[in-house]
Amino acid sequence: MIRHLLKLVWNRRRHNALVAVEMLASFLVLLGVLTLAVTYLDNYRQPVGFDYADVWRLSIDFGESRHGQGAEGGEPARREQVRQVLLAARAQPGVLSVAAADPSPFSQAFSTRDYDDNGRRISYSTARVSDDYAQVLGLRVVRGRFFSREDDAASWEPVVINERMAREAFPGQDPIGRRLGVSDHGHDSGAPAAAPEAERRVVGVVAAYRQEGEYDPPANYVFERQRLDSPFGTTLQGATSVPRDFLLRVAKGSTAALEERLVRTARAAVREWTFSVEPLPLARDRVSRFYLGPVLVVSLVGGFLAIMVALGLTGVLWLAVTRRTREIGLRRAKGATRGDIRAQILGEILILTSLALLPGVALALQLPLVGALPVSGAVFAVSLALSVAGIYLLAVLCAWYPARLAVQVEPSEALRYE
Amino acid sequence: MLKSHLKLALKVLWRRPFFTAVSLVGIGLTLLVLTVTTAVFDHIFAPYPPEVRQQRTLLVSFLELQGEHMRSRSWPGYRFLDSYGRGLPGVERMSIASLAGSAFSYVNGTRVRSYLKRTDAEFWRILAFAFVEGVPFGDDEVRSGSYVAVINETTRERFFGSGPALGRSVELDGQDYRVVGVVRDVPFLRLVPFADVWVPLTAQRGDGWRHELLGDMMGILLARGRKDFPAIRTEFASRLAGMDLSGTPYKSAYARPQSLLETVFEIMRVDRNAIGILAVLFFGFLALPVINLVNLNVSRALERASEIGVRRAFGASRRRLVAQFVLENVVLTLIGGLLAFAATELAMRALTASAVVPYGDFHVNLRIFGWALAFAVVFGVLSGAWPAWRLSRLHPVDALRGSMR
Repeated sequence: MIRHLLKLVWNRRRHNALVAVEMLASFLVLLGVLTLAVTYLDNYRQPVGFDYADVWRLSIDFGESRHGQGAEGGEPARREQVRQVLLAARAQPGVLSVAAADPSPFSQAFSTRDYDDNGRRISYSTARVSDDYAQVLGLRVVRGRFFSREDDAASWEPVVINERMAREAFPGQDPIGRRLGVSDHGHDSGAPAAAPEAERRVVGVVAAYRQEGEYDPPANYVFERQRLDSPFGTTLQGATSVPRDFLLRVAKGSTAALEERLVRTARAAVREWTFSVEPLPLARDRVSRFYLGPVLVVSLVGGFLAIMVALGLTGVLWLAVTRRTREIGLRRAKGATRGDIRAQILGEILILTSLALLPGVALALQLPLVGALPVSGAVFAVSLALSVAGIYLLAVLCAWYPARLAVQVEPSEALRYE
Repeated sequence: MLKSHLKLALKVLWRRPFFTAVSLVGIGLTLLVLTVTTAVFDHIFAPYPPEVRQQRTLLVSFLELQGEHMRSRSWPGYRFLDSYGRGLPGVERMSIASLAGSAFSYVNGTRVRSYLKRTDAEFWRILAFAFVEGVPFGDDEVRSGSYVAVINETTRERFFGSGPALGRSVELDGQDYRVVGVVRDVPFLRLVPFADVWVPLTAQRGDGWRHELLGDMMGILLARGRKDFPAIRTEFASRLAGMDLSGTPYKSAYARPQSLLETVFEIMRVDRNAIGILAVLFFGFLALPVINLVNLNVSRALERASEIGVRRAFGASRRRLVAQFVLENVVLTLIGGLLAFAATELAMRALTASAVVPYGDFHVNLRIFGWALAFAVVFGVLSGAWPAWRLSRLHPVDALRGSMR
């Protein structure tokens, strides 16, 4: 049966080749769109690692851009002023706890570093945060502990990493107490480049942390410690830049009135700076739009293409069936049932689809083979399976109406055709 | 001759309404995507007011500093633009403006977010804003660091309702500014002019911004004409070569006055590789509709095999048949193009109404119409050529019999 159908497909090869090429092209487009969609869904269902519902961000504008290093000699004075602002903010009723973070969540600013571990490149994003950060954001510490006063006396710099980083940097080992490699390469889109690194040791592991939220691809993350007490804002290497973003956990149901009060209090503490407060859920919506925009456009265009291809295929198959009225009539006259005819038409389409998908899947499988796969293997496998299923579905849907037409052909009518 | 071909083309299209409709939907959707893309580009890049002199405007929108072990790249800071951007030959006017940053206000217990741009007096001379009330701030206000502001109509509405705003004050980030002018809203995607509120660069208490090489500013250079661009770039490059970087960890600097298009590509991190990838994606996108239409055309052509046979038998040349078939196809795609253009108008209205882009004013115009027609013709020729060629290769005898493999 299948060999017979193959022969039928082969006999009309020039006509079928074009249809096959169209299916192949559709498959590749569908694979692209679905890979993107599955990646997003996969990211979305993974834990973000922090709770931003009642967290606000207080940003200080020192009257210069993020690249500013501050006027010469101004650093100690500036630290003291920031401390005043934080004291004032913490004293406001409704503010439960305060922590520093640079870069902070949903800020679209990133610091990335990478280092060499016996030939393996390990890259990670990093943020400098204060001791209360885990409490403000509700981070779940699964091993060791978060930063605390214990670290004040250490002769090395403590870091807290996420589980993904622990798995990648220290596979199969307990990461607590281990040294982190010294990065030789980095990029900052927000804060200025950090000073050369001192020895850093892992003191704790948090379950997950994805800075930009649900749509941010899971990545390795390393927290460094920002001291907010005296000596304020210093690290082992000496002064770092003064943090300008602070996270405040506020009481449930706090309103814009508290925002306004916070800004006024801060301004009363230091006249020459400007302050702004933004609830993290608002920032999250902004970032989500940024991530979802491209997906929306791609899906829209993909949807258009799908409609077009479906209509086109239906038309082509319909004409093909019309042209074969005589052949079908003859088969009916020789005793083929309606079911036989339907099976033949659908079978031919399925075979044609399979022929078109073979090179497509072969082509797609080259990506993981040459190691150029931009997504995880599981995501790609799911997308590939869905794309194949999608094309088969499309083919069957498009063949359904033409097959019905073919089934309705009456032998007598067909035989006197033309 | 052409007329009879056209007549025939329409007749043929009408004979199979279902096929024509299917083809038109495909053509229409494809051209719709292309035309909408064009319209969005037009919205961002075309010289609409206030950017009426955009054709001869250059932007200094990044500065890259290279050190021994580090590289920093960002928008330039004020000190860099002020020291190296002023007085370039062939430049008529030069302005320094910050990016539009957020400023928050509390009006009647709710929070209002405004985009704030800090700039100078030249800004208003390079860009032709439409003032509804008052005038822009001038050199005196910038020199003295007055807390004055030009606001757009939406901001006026938010703060003062429908009444006039002149002389009243708006509070942004806890600072009061006196309103000296009100302008029409400028769409969010117009990178250079866009903001809700424009205030003098000097209207801030700190002065850290004055000393920055890297920062969040852009330099706007209005050249006398486009022919001055190369000289401006050369002079700028030679100034950078002699730049004083003592006291910084950097050894060399790179920046280049660019057109708006180059700047936007820069921001979206579209480099040469990315342009290649985008081109592949674009043609990939175009390939599918073309194959689809070729398929439909071949199927349709089969129906007309006997007609072709007769014409061949009576001595019509291959070239003439090809021309006729391609023409028929172009007629079809042109109709599709017109439909797509009409749909684009609707899409643009929906986009404007949805307010996805703040102050977006999307619309279609003659330029976009021209592009739509061009897309339609290219699409028609691309998808008509192959089926036409196959038709013309038919042997008259085969064709008359109506068989074709």
